[in-house]
Amino acid sequence: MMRNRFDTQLDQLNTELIHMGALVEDAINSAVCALCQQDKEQAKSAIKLDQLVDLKEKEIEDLCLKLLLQQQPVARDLRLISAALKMITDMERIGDQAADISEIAIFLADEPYVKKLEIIPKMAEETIKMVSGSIDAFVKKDLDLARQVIDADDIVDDLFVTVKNNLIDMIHKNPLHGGQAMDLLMVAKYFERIGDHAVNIAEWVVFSLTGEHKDIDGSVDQI
Amino acid sequence: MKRKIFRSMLLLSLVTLFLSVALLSIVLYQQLADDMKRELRNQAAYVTAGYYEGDIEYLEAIRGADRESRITLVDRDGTVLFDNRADVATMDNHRDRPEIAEAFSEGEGETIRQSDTVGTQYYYLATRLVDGRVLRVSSSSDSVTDALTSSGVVIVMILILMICLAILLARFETRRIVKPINQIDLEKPMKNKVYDELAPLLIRIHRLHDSVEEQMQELAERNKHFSEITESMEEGLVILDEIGHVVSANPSALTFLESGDGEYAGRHFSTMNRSLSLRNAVEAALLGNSSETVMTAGNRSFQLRANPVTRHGEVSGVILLLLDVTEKQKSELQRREFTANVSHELKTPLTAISGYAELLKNRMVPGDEAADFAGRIFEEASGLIALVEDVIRLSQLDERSVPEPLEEVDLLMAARSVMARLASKAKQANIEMTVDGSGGLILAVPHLIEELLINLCDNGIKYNKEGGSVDISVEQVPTGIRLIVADTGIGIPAEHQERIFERFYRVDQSHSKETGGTGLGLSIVKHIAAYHKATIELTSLEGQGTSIAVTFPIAIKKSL
Repeated sequence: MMRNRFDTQLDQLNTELIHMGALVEDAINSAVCALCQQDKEQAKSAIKLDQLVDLKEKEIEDLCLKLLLQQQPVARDLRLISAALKMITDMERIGDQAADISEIAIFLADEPYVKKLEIIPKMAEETIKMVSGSIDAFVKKDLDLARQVIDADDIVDDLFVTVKNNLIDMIHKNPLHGGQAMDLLMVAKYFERIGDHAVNIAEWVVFSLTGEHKDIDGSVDQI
Repeated sequence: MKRKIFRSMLLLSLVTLFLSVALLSIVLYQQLADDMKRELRNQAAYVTAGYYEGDIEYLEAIRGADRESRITLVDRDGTVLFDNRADVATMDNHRDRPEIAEAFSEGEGETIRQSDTVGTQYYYLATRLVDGRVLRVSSSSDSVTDALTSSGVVIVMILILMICLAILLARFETRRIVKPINQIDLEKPMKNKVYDELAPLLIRIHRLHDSVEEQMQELAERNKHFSEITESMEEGLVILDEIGHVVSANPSALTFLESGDGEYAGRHFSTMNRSLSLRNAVEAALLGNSSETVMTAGNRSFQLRANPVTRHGEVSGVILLLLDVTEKQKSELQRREFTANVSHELKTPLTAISGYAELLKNRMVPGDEAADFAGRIFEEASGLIALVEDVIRLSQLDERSVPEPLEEVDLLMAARSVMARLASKAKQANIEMTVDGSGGLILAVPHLIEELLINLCDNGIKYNKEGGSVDISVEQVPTGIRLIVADTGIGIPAEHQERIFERFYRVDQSHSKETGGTGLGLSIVKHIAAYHKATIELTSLEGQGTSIAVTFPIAIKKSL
């Protein structure tokens, strides 16, 4: 009976995490639409989604703590719950950054872009792919997919450097465009950070599946 | 059952064993007691005979000989004259000892009692002698018990042995009885040869077995039908249970939801697809509300219908039906765009016409220019008529309601006649036209082919350079007959090539008015080609010219 309840709660934790992932994905998608199409409505919906993400984080956190205290899980279950606790923090950060991008997008929507956005949409696409990939890896318990996400971070990092150089060129050509360039640089930085968070999520997925987590210095600790 | 059989068998043998041992012991005891009495009587006779021979001295002589029995001689007045076990001096008068008293009166007496002198249970036999004295011989009854106990040890040992044997036998027998029952093959109950008593049961099982098998087969059949139906369904079908776990999902649903391969039965629906619209629809359905929404997955749109399954007034599951509406939405969008475009295309010349007419009406046009104005009105009106004709043609082609029957058409001849019709226009634009090829018969509607050729050649002339050329060629290829209209014109930029067959699509919006045309030409070409099941290939290089190849399937021979 007790065990049954525990399983139901674990199942619930799983689906809530998936739901939170879906919210985060929607938030980034909306933010990207808002940015590329200069659509203020999309930006507002992204900000609203971020609030939902925050609520969801609280909810999942409560569920995790309840599970830890009441059921005292061990081994695999314990890994899942502790990984969940870490993952929601990263997802919440991604939500925040989507909202930040949206705020800049609202600001940028009033004037046309100096140059058609090219690299930033590509960067957005890559980061969305990473976030979706990390959540997919969790849903499907797919170790390979998680590792792909971890590797994909380099692409986003390279794209960030390209964006940065392009923006420097833009300022060089006309210093009056500096304001927009700064905003776009922030946006690019946010995308780069979202990529990092996606990597974190993927690492926690790896941890929940194998019990191994990549440490800061790259060494592998077995728990 | 095994245990029960074993227990009852063991109990039975133990009870028998103990009862027989107990009865045997009683009998044995009796036997031993009788033996002892007889022996004592014999002994008494010997001692009596000895006494008659040797008097009391004889008795003294055998005092130490017999350790088993006690011999006492009592005088007529009861005083003890001799005893081989006790000191005569300490013994009291024995006259009132029951056996002695009896012997005095009856001549012989016997009792079993506790000896006052020696203190153990004794069997006494007293005989009155000829001289009036009484000779008493006695033996301890302990000797019987002793004999019994000494043999008792053996008996107990045998008993233990027997018990062990009984246990072993019981176990063996139990196994032997139970074995055939255990070996019954329940899959084929009638093939077994066991106890007759079990036969009715086996027959019953056999019947049940048959009916269960039948039902299973029916069920499997039905399941197969169901999965065949769902698997061949184009619509996605997902069935969820009351907590949102997948019961079944057909392949279309997995494709639509981009879930990838895998077994989703028993897993939460959000592992298939985590889109929020799906989740909202399922959550509403779990609360008992059906809903219909459009959701997107990948780059396709689906109409999602979520219906709760209720049993006894409670939601026991959800059925999700997914319909791919991408094409529908696309064509709807196209139709909407078309309507908007047509209205726009109609409005522009009409505004001009109404402007010129207004000027004429208000007599604001000098007399000599009136004809010119009327000419412009006529021009715009002709354009309008051409546009409306094109739209009508297009909608006819859309509906595929062209009533004309198919005839044999020689493409080469048709091309020549079109060239003749467009010759003056070509000359005006200073463009050379050539027709070339081996000719080929196709089965088609003649005036549609003519229209197709005119549209293609007209475009070739219109979007050409000064002194360019339009070359028409007809050739046979393995897949049919190919018509190629190539010009040396301005060409179509790569990014537009995909869209130029769309209605009202123009490569250069500002340029279009100069060259004229309705913007529907290529769209009509596309439709005519589709009507004849022909394929269109476009190759174009910006600034170098465009070549459009239309490949018609080979005419069906029956008409020849």
